[in-house]
Amino acid sequence: MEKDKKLALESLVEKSSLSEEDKGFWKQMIANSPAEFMETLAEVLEMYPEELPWFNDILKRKQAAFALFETDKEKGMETLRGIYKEEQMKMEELISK
Amino acid sequence: MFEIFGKQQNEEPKQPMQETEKPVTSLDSFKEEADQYVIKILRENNFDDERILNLMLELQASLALENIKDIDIEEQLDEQEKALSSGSGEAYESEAAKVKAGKLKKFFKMMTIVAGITIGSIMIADKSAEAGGRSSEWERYAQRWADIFMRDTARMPGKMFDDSRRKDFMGIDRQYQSQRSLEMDIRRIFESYRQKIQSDPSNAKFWEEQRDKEVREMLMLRGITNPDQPRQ
Repeated sequence: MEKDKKLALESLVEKSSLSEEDKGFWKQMIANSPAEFMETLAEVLEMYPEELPWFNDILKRKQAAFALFETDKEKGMETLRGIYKEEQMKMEELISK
Repeated sequence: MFEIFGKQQNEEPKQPMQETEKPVTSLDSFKEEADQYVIKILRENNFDDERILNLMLELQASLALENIKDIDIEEQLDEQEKALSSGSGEAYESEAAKVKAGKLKKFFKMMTIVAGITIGSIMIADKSAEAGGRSSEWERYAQRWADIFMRDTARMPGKMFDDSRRKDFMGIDRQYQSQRSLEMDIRRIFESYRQKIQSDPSNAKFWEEQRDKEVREMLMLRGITNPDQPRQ
């Protein structure tokens, strides 16, 4: 069952418009996720497969914001706060669809 | 190279170190005033250059850990929870909407954890690589750090650590705290007096003497050296 979910998710990523590098990252994350982590990935990506590029963009922007912590923590935190706000708006948009 | 997501990890989202970069092999690479001061003090206290170089590389790793510790993912998850719960409420009236919102919240938080651990681990690996791979302990630390955070995602969206996991993480942290090196202490004293000199430049000489006295006392307390012994 878990294996089926992994395969379904990998297939969803493969069919997406993500770059090959980004597809590799997501597949890796899926392949190595703890069971409950993968469960959540599956629930959300199966509900909103067309949103994968948006989710990917947010993940990369979060990584960039965390990388800022090394040189400018305040700026990193401010950037993350902006991202959380975008997530909140996206959440409302997706729920009302 | 450490593995961020487990044994099958074979690619990095970012290369920690460019192939053209060379590990630091000489004390000439340390140009900052604070570094120069640390090197001067250690030389005055009979440390040979090879030992100083090893200590300086450890210093880099220690400073990197200080920065990495700023990546407080739990703090970020709290911030994120507040933001995600700040909606109008109208969107969540039905039971189905509430369930969807719960799933999306959990997913967004997981992405925050993934972003934090990948970047934190890369920072540690960067420093290890800059040190010429001398400190394989740092890579092990990065791996443990990533493993612990990943395991705790299973307990989302609650607190990331239960008591046993927190002890596990803090145990690693203490291990590195205890390894915090001599030059880190010298550098802290230096930075503290640099601020005093900046705000009171007319007494710069006095503050420099106080600084050097404090460093000598710290060295003596640690039983490392006789400050009056000339360099051989």
